[in-house]
Amino acid sequence: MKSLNEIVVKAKALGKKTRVAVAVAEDSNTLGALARAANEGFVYPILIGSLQRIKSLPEAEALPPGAYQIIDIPDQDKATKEAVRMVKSGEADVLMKGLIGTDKFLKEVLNKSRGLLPPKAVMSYTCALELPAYHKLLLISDTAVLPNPDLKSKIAMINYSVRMANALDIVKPKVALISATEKVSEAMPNTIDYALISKMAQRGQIKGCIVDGPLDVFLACDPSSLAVKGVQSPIAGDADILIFPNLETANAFYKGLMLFAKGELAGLIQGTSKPVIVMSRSESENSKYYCIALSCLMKEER
Amino acid sequence: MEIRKLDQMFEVLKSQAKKRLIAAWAIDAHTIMAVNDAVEMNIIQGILVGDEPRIKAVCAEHGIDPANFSIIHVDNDAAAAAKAVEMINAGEGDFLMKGLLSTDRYMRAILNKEHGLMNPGAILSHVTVAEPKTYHKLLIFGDVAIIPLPDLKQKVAITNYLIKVAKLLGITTPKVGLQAASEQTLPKIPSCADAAIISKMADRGQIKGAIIEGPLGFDLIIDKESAQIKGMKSEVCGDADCILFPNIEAGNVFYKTLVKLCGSELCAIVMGARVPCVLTSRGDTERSKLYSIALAAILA
Repeated sequence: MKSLNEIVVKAKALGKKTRVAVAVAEDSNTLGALARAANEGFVYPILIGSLQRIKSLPEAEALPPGAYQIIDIPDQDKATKEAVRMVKSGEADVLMKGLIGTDKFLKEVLNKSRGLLPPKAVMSYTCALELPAYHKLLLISDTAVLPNPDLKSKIAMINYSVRMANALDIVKPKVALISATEKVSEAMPNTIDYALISKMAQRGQIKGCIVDGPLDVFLACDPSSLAVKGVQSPIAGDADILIFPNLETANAFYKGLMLFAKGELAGLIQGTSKPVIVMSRSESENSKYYCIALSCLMKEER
Repeated sequence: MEIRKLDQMFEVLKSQAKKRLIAAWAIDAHTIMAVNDAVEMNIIQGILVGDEPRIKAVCAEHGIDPANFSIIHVDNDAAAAAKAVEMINAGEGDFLMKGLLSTDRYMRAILNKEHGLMNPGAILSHVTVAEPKTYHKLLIFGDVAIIPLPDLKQKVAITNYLIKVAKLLGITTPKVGLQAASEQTLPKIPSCADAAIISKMADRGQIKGAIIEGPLGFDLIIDKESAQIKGMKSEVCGDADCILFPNIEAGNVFYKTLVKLCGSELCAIVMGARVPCVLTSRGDTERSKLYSIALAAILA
């Protein structure tokens, strides 16, 4: 896939409405994105929150009559609990965060008895970036959840991202493990993890993808850099997925691209039993719309 | 010329200028006879450092002509080791050999910070070259004698020594197998983890001049069929020139198995000092001592 719009096209082609339960569905961007998806026929919004506050938003007018539901729970914590419960019980397919703090929202998602994270699963975050300067979608992880992923978490990040790539019709994605250099050095412990992971992949211990690292971003995404440096890599400067060593690096990478390179993105929480959309309030309606479309595909992938 | 049999080392040496061996505390029949064999074979020059009357008595007893050697008189073992090392540093010899003194004293003279043979930061290690009867070429491996549990940095140094020895034996691009408990990359098993890291370092050109693959079980390193059964596609498998062992126990058991159960000939060398150092033990055969001298002469 080259653009996020192709995700929308594929979501529409599923020919069914994905039920999205929104916790505290009281902000404009979220409602606007849902209204668009609902009008295009691939989403059935279940808006949980204060009926009065939801109805007072202009975007509520845009919702297609009879093709959505509002559950009136004015208390934020109770609304969030109900949204998680509905997804867990199968009354909804996707969970989405509305006008509530990410910490409070994730606390409920992570709750051992009521939440959506299977025992021992690693929670992470993968997003798909559309970049005018790259010839296809680029998936990156982890921009939002794991501050300093260890070896096990890095492998989980790879597996989650590969699954998302598969949902985007990328059959055997090329995964680059990103560092500041392609050299392996004990002075940079992430490069040691990367050496182990790329050898594990070579030995078939990580399946369904081609993995190489350490690589810097140039070597991962630019074939001419490989030639200049004389580095051999099975990724050949054509990465589908970039795994970053820590949250600061990944976060700065995507935000820099949003701001300076006209990037657009769609991302999802990873590791949960059902897709979970967490977007910050500052993200655009457009980004939220793409996230919703992506969640429809990921629901099918499970 | 690629050396595929230990005997071929002699041919190579005969065609070269003779390297000068300095034997420290060479006052016993084992050492003197080994040096004498090499001198009479015309592959080295021998310099014996030790108690001159005792050296001459041993020569007389074994029918050896003392004129085959230069003899430097020193009357005790520690002083002989120090003198031998001093002569190497002065350029009066090309490589060192241990005589009747203890390994401990010999190593101490080499490792001495002021007067020894070590460059700062250098790692001393032991490399064996064996001629297993059931293998189609020589096998170069380490460390079976000096570093008990090498860390990553030491393993990289040992790997480089193995490659250096292989190249000096005429192998253009040596194949190195990194031995581990399994060919799987099991991060919690140090032999597997370090092998994976070293193999990646080689991919990145941080270790040069060789084809390196690991982690590999021992069977996959030396037997192509085992590798095929396990689906391992590496040109190292079944055709390795060099083996890096993860620890001294693994290497030492392999070394002794070759000698005691397989009747294989082998020789060894200490690498990492400014010159190669021969470290034979009294248990070694005459032939093995001669091969070790030849190997050191090739490396010197």
